[in-house]
Amino acid sequence: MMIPSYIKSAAKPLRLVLSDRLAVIGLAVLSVIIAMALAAPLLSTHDPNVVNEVEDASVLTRQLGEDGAVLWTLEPSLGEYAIQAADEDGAGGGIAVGRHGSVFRYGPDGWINIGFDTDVDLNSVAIGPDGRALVVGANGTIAVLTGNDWTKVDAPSPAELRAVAWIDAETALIVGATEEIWLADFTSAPIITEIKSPVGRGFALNAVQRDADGTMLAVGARGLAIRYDPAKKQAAIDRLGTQREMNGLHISPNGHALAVGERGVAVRRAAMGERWVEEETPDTRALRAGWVGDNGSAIAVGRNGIIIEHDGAAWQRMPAESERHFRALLVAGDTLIALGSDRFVNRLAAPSSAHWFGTDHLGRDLFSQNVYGSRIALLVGFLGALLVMLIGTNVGLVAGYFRGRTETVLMRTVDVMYGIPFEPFALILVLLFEPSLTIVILAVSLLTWRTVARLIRSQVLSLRERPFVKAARVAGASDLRIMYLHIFPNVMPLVFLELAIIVGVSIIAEATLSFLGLGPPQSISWGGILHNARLSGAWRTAWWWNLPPGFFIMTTVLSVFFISRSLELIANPRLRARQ
Amino acid sequence: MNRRNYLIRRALQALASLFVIATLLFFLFRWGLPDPTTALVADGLSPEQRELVRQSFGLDQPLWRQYLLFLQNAVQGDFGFSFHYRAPVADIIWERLGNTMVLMVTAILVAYIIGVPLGAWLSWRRGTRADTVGIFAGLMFRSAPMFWTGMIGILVFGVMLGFLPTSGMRTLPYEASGFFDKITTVDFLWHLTLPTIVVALYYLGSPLLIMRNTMLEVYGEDFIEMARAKGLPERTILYKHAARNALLPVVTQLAVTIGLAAGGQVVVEVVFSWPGLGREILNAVRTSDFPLAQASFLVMAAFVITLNLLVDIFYSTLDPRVSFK
Repeated sequence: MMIPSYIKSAAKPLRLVLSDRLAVIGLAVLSVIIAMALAAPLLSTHDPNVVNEVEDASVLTRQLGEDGAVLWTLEPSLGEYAIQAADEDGAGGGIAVGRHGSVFRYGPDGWINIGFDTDVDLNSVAIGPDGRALVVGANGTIAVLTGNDWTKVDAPSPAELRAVAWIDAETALIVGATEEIWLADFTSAPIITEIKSPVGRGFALNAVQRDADGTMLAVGARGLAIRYDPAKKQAAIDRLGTQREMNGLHISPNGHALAVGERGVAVRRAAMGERWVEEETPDTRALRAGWVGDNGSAIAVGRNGIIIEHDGAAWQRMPAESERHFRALLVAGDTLIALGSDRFVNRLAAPSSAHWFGTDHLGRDLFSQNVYGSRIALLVGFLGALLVMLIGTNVGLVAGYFRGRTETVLMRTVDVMYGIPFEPFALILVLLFEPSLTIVILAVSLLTWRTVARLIRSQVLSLRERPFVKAARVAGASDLRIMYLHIFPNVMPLVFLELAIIVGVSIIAEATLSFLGLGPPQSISWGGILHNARLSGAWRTAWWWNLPPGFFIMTTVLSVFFISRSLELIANPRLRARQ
Repeated sequence: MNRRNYLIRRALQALASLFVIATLLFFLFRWGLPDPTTALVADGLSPEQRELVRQSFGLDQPLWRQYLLFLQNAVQGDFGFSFHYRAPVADIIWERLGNTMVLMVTAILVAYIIGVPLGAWLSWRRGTRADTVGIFAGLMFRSAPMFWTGMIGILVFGVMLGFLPTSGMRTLPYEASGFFDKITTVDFLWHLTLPTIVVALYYLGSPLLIMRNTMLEVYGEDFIEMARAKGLPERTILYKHAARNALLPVVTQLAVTIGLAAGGQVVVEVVFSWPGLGREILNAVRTSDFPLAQASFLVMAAFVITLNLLVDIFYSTLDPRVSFK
């Protein structure tokens, strides 16, 4: 007997919901969101907490603002692989090479892809006096570009070649990661000759340049410097006065020289034959490439968007639009170009195929965060509502059934509850106790049961006078039995209506607390995403950050409201006639 | 029971509720924060100074003495000294409460002035597309969290279009000698616009839907049939006969909403940097400024209870059918 009565009273609201079109839509939308919460690990494209990194052939140019301030401005990307090196052609253009065999020519028409059939990482490029470009890279890759034709040159060993520079129109010097020093002669068929290093301990040589007197200078690990004299065909140790690994070297035609390296080291030589002097730089992170002009003005670039310029007196950090990792500088006529970028944190990226909702200020995937956010919202929504129903229904039942002093005490309690404003109460709870999921659910449910209790009580008041209750009492049923088996099924439809409304209220309440930064820490919720967006200050530009979470909250609550609207017919039969 | 006795009883109940809330608040704080001055130690307070503060709050006395002291001070409107502002809490609270109410009352009135006629009109057009759209829009604004619509509003009107101020009550710096001096300027109205729109949109749903639903109920009454039978135009029936009788639940809702508004909308004040009571209580929580948090909460509760009381008095005046049980 008892089970059918419950099922019957639960079936009525369900029929009502299914007969209302808006409610069916609401039910469908809610089901989708519940499915999203359940299948969050499957649906999310990324781990929502993982900082996403991305590699990119990034180009930044030096621009002057209207007020004369320098800003290194992000230009359209060249591709998905980092640029490793670049060299100018002396005619306002240049060539840049990068990982995965990428080669680009910069000219009056902008950047053109001139890659050849290789996918090894290319580490360096040098353009000779006659316009020939020599490219070196991993696995002993050496290739020459004459006009538009590539010629591959066989290497003596598959060494990691780091840098290359022309000695004259026909010969070039190549250095490698394990102290290789190779002389390439293109007078007739290309010949590679290995030069004996004066150190011979396998130190990496990272950069090589032709010095003003025609000798070649290579720098590398532990501040090592090796000078090769083409006339004597011999290499000798030179000194830079630093122990840091040097990454980049540039020498201007009149002998100004700049070498940069790890820990923000920049050493400079004012003219041929002078001493190298270590200069103070504004940052201690690695510098990868430098450029110095005949007049001594200099630029260096490094990791994390560091671009420093020497204005004649001191090095100064310049504002750049991106915190990418730079590897190369290209001075093409009047255009100054910084090139990179190795894997960098993909901060505040606009929506793309990789990140459907973009990324936040820490490079976390926002789509996955939004998907996972549905879990907290629904958990608090349903758990809170369930708790509210449990308290509210029981208080209402007991107060309405027993009446008398019990009712007075319970209903006065409800009156007191009506005097407590919700948000401030939740804030106080968090002030006194630590923010946690429990506190959020407690705050939501402690204050919302008041409405339910009042409603249920008023229903029970009339139900208890009904003949079937009197009959049950005469038959000797206990109070508990009458309350829960006879009266409760009759208020069930009303309970369902309230349940639906309170689920919506709870979801908004949770989002509100999380938005104020009082939600459970270490968890992802829609309100929390908006909290992060507001805290970071980036929400004023990153619209993709703050649009979706609010949209999800709105959709979820709206779908619940639609369902509850169809149930209102139960609570207010007078509406039924009007439909 | 006659009307006067009913009102007296109702007022006493309200007072009792306030007393219970104050008591709960006191013990909740003593339970959660046995020694509130621990928050002050971080500010470099010496043990002697800390002892002084403890004495001024009576924290060195037994619990029941503290409780009596708290009640005594609360009745006199003396809420002590704010840890954070180093100023009397009462002064801070009254100013913030004024700021909050200016925004909330304006927004709620706007919502009701638009929502009530619109709801009546929707009930007249029930079942049509306009009705569906109206219900949908009302529920949608009700479902969208205000901090989100506020952020979107700032994004569109403040940042992208750039013609509405997005934070504060006045353009800084400004000088104003008193509350009314502050709010009787065009600059203030300009600052009020965006938050008012956001709050009003949120509140629009409830007068709209309540009005619509009550109107539908009133349409079934005999006196409407009578008016129809007399051949009155539909518009007259709608606004003169039906709407007047449907107004009661809306008015009730209005008073309850204003009561809750005193502390109800922390997020709007946070998003628009509006120096109101809600934002103050959040700051008090963040800075562990317990005298301020405690007093703000009490003032809000008093406000809610008073407005609820007014609703009941109002109701008994408006609708003689309300029995005084």
